[in-house]
Amino acid sequence: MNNRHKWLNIFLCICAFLFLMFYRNPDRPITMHLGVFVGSNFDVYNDNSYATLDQAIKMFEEKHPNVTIKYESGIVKKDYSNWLSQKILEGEELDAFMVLDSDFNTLASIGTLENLNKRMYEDLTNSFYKPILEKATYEGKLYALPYEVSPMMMCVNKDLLEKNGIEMPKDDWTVDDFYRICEKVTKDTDGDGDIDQYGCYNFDWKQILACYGLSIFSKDGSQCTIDDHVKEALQMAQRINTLNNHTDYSGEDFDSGIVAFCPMSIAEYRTYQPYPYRISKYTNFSWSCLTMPGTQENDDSTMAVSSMMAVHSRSSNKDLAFEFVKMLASDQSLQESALVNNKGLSVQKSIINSDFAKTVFENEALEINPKQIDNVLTHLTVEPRFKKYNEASNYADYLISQAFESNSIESELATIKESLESRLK
Amino acid sequence: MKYFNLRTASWIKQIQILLNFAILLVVSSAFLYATTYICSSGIQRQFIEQLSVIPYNPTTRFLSVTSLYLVLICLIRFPMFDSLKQQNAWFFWLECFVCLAIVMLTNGSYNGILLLALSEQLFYSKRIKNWAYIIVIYLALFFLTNFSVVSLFVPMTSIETYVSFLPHMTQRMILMQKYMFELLNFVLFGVYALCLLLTKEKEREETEKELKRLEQVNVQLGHYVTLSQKMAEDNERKRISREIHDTLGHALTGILAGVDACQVLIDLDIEKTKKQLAVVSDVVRQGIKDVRGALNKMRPGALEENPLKESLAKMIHEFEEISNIEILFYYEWEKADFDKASEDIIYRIVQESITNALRHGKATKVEVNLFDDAYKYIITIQDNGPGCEEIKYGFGLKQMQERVAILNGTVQFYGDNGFLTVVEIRKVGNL
Repeated sequence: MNNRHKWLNIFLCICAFLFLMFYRNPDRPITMHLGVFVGSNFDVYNDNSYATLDQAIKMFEEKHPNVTIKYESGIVKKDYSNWLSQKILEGEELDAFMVLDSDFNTLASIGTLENLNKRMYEDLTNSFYKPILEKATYEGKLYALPYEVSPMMMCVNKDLLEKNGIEMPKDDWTVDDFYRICEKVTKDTDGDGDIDQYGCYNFDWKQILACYGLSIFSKDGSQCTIDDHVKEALQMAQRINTLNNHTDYSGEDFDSGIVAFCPMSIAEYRTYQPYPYRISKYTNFSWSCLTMPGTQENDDSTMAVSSMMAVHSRSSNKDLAFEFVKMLASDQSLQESALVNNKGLSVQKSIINSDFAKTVFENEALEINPKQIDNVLTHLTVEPRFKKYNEASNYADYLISQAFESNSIESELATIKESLESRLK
Repeated sequence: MKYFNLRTASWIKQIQILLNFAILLVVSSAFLYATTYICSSGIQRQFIEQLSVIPYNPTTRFLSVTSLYLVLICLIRFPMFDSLKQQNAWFFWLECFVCLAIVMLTNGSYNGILLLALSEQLFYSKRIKNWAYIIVIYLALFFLTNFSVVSLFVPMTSIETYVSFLPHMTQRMILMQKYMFELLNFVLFGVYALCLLLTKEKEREETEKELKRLEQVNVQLGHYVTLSQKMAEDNERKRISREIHDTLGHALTGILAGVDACQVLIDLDIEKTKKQLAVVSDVVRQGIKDVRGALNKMRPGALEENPLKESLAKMIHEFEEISNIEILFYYEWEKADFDKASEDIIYRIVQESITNALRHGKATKVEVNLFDDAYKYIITIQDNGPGCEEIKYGFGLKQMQERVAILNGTVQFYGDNGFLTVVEIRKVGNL
């Protein structure tokens, strides 16, 4: 055997070895693992949370007979973060998993989530509401596909407004309108010296800031964007806060009908509006939902929670996992099923604007129409996405709440900005 | 100083190998233990927040670090790689590569393992001059694989982050152990390098000494060459005087003897005188021929034409012809095989002895014996002259001594019963 033959043989051996190592029969049996939690992502009662998922798995397994999809059932949302973190720490195999809004930044920053940009095509991208996809984007890369969304709505006690001679606001109302109404309704009705009718409950500064279309952080988290506009919004927040801060009151006060406004996610609204819950919860007054107030310049005023599913960047079946995630987020029958079962909203434009959605809303006697919802979803607020967002946001919450308590937001804003900026570094 | 030798170095290397293994065990089990601890105390989410990249499976990490280290030990310890190491520089880069893989697997938390590869490379580098390059390269690697530098390019989570989630005491224990071992590792490396340096320095010094000695020998050799040239010149001079003595002296002695004889004979028998004169004439011719031969080649013509025995017989016959002397010639060297130069010398010795017997001894009978025993060749030349009580070493005898010395033999002269010359020449291969 001469030298040339020897090298040729070695080369062939290496090729054969590599082939055996990397070749995979496309029809081999594959088991995919999902990470999911039980219950609703929108913190409402849902006894049927696996229904859509199971339907999706069945459809997928029918389409790919060699694939079996498994998931660990019974993990509640509260434990899900830890459960998922542990799987990641132990390097266990998950092909696709649900991502909580609060985990998204961290998971994307450490590279757990597969970048989906290359897998998206124009028709697919366009079928989604743009801001919902933006909510799953980190540093310009799409890391998950949302499959349902629940925007905030403003619930209104219609009876209370009527009783005080206030006209029901329109959808294009502003924060100033909101404040005026609150001012009007906040009073002592029985003359005992204690205020017993309130403007709003649970409307925090972040939501007010969103109404103004502002954020205290830049999109990439590189700086704190507290300026005169933010100052104005926060001053309004303080005024609203002061107005409602006379006594401690709770969600039950809205339930008992002495509060005019309460922000509520559409999932909550859809859960409590229909027959059985409505009876038990809100019996003694009639109520309705409005879109969140905006300002004259800003219409992107609604915060929303979305449910997202991501592909694990170390999955060995990324293509299949993406196909599954894509199916869950864009298949018509699955999206319809999710709309019915999960109380949130579909992420697909075609579903929201369909007769099916209209029928669903009518059946649930919701006082909102698909057109309103289409408008809300087209103009969702997208929070900044950066690694330290949770930490910085919590810190800001602490500082601003403190300032509200001492009624000194105007004077402390400069200090707050400084502290936040040092926290961002 | 005497303890800083290769033996110590090899001991230190053994300890280094064990120590590095201990450090890697501490480091990789810290990753494993911290992960287990974090998972069992429900702070996974909090911990994930601190990560900069998805971690490897800690068990896989542990096993791969351990097995890579075993590979490294095999590369370092197995003697079958020794020849590879001596010939190929790439082998060390293979070791270095394994080290780097281990460093990456331990998230850059321990790069002291590079010192092992460095020790190897220093040990096998042939010249201390190369140390500078190697050390510079490794310094760069050290710098680049340090966690604070490498994490700039490759996202990594430091061991400190992992350990910071452990209980305070455990944290301290692990880090203290790690730093202590690392320090020890550095110290060991320092001593190792010192051992190598001193050994190599010593080797260099010895080589230098050897070189100096050789230089001296060279100078001596130079002197010797000059000396031997001079000696050769002397020898040549002696040889020329010998030739003159042998050819011309011999012929003239013969002529003198012949002419003396003619002086006596001329009155008694003219015919005989004529014969004698013819012989003398032959001797003169032979003499001329000899002188010519000597002049041409400094070699006797007789010997050129005939082998030793014939030359001797011819020479002896000529002596008998021109003088009134009876020469008995016994030749038993049938198997002897001398080179030309030696034959020449032997011829001259016999010739000289006979001439002496004729000239000084006034002998009428000479016995020439050439025989041998197991160890030596022996030549005896015995005449029946008066001998002498005290032997005077004139030019002839001295020359004979010198000549015999060239043949590595001895010559003895006895003057008590006639004159006896005994020459003994050792046989080649018998000392």
